[in-house]
Amino acid sequence: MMPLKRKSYSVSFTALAAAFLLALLTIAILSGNPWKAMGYMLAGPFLSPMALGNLLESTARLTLAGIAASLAFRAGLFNLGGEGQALAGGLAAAAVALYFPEIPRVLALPAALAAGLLAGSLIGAFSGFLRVMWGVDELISSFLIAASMGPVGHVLLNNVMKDPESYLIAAPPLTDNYRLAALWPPSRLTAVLLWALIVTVGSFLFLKFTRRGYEWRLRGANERFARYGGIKTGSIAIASLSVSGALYAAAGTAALMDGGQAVQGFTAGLGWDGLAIALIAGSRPELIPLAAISYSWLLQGTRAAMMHTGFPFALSGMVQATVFLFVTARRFSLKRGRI
Amino acid sequence: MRNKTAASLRDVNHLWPSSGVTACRDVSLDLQSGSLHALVGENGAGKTTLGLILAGVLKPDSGLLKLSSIEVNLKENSKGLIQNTALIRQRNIWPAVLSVREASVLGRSDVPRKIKDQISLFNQTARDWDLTGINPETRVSRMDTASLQRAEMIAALMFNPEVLILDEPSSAWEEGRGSEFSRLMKQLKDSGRAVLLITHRLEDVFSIADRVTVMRHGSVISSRDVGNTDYATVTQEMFGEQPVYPPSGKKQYPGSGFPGKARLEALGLGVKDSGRNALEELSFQLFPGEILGITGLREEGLSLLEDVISGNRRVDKGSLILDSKPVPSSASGLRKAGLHYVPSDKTGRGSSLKSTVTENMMVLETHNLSHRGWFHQGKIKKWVEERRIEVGISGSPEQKLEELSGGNIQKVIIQRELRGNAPLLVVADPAWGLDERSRRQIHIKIRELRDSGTAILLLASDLDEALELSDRMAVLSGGRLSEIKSADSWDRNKAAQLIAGMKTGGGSK
Repeated sequence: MMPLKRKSYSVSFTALAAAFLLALLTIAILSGNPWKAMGYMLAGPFLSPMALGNLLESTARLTLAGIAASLAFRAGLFNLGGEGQALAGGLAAAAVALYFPEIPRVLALPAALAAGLLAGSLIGAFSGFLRVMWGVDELISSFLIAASMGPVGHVLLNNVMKDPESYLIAAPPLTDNYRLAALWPPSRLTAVLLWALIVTVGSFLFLKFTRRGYEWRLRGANERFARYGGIKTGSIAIASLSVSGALYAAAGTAALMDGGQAVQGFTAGLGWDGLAIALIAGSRPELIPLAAISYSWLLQGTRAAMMHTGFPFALSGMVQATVFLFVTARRFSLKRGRI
Repeated sequence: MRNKTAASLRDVNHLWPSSGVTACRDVSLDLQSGSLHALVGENGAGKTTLGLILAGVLKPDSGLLKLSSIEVNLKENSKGLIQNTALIRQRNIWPAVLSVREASVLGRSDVPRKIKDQISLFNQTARDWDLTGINPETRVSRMDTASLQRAEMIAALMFNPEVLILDEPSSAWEEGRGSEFSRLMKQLKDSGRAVLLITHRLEDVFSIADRVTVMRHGSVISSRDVGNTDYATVTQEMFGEQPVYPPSGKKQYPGSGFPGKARLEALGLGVKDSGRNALEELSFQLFPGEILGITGLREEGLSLLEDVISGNRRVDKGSLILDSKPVPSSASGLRKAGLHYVPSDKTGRGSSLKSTVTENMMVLETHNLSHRGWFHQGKIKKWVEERRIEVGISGSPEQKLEELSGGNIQKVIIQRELRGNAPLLVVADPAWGLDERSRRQIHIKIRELRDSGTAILLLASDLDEALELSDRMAVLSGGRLSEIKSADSWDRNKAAQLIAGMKTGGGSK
């Protein structure tokens, strides 16, 4: 038996709305200046070109993570390893930048991205492989592998790749040939927005209009039926987890580009945020950007409110937790009786 | 107790908003205590809907219900009916993760508080109705269909309902247990309960029912005592015309002298499993252009044989040869080798309830409907529409399959598998969920395929269907296969005894 019902087509933007309300309410009750805080919370991300650009950059990154989680969901699989896959992707890209600092720009960025994607997809594919060979539940294996990536990343950043001139647990900053051009200075908006657009449109078309996409969806809807229909469900498990891992890694690489340096924890949260966004959008690629921008807005808005009113930093975590609570509550709630 | 009205429905109307189908139109129905009332009609006539309304599961658009103790305006309130009526659905909907006990008390307020008392209530009910042999602490997921049906019956009777509604029960009370079903029906009547039996099997109606109501397109056509009507009248009322059935058209083969080479050959298949569910030294040959029927109880080897042939289960001993080559071990390999297959598990294996009608229909044709991996949308639309009309599937191509009735789901499976020149067709219970007319159509279709040279293996849990459709037939019981002989030369009683595991001297254990 499957431990959870692995389908998530219900769109639950209500969860986001609820989290917004709760955050506003908390701010209103606890803040010394509730109106100002609420104003920053709602409008903060739109008040300056820089804030707006940063919102878009974060949306693009979260879109990649959201689609990563969605594609696994749609094929009937749980990829809980996003945290580790994003970290592996970011680290692999950082390693290329560290060890080949002098290669020309045209090659540098693609090489770093390719290394990142490869690392993420291998980790994802490994969970798929374990599932096909020995029936290991990918929900467990992807999570455990991801959990083991954390310490690995720590060792790499603290020893092997450590920047000797820095007190941080971090690799040296990226050289210029590895940096994405800023599209809208002073904000950090980059071509990651384009990556997200391509991935969104691509996965939408893939799921809806291609034979392979149909096979993935069919596996997600009823694996036994898909197998009975002659579809190679095992290959799909490996392929979809591999693609999911690669997209998480792309999000991790985007995080590296955003900060310009691989610092301890630079990809933290991408895995869980990706899952939350996938659940909010019902795993539908066409809705992922909308879910991602609302989610970013919520997070950045809370942050803006905190910065301008001296509100405790923990609020941001609380807001995230609320989103998760509502999204999952909806997912596992009993539907009204239908016959 | 007798001849007292236990429940009467008045002027029930219901329209399914999603499909726009009027399932009930001014329906009135009286159920007498101590009497078995049969409700018959074609697929989609509104029988199941009426059952749901009577059980209080579904709120109709309008209607009144009078029970011995209460009168209810169904539109406003259908709560409280659960105390008086019990419904056993066509498809079991118990959550797989619960135990039988947990499922049997689900949603009720009048349950003993202690688990111990619930268990003893379950066991006492089982003893009272002679349905023993079920452990209430077994997980629902571990029960086979037949045991589940018995467990549901016990659960329904645990709380002493005045009215019991059975929706198409006979498909699961398989041959060999059929007598148990009749016994149970008689016991229910003797205890003064009113039973509503929703069925499409007219044999059941005329052997056990007292009254029969015919529904067509949501309306009641007639309601009579069984003594005042007959098979032909009821059939005509169900379908609105006198159905013309062709003769059965069996192929006769002389003894063992078959022309040509066997398409599928089983050589000493052996599979070990728990209890009687095993296969021992099973051998047969299946030739192109014949229907070989194997009948028996699902849990006495029939399910296992189906799993082996469809690549879902490895054998411990023996081998399976397809066209002189070992059969591929994977399901996708078997499909490539030309297997077409109607499984007995219609909704778990044979279809995907959460997918659309189109997605269910096209799974074997995706190569032809796409170009370089991209679907050709216009082509798919046309392709689906043609087939939908040909087989008579009601429901739109974009509808989720779960919104369709059992009979329509079976039609989706049938159109997909009974097609073209498949070298090998394995078909389990082809008439599942179908009314008489659709059943005949399917049988004709299967014979056409046979005549075009397909080798057909029929795995039937219904003895009568096996006798009717097979050219050659054998009985599978306790994991062993009887002798294989021409279906016409089988004696029905002897076959039934073999299925029930009785020794008759010929070919049994």
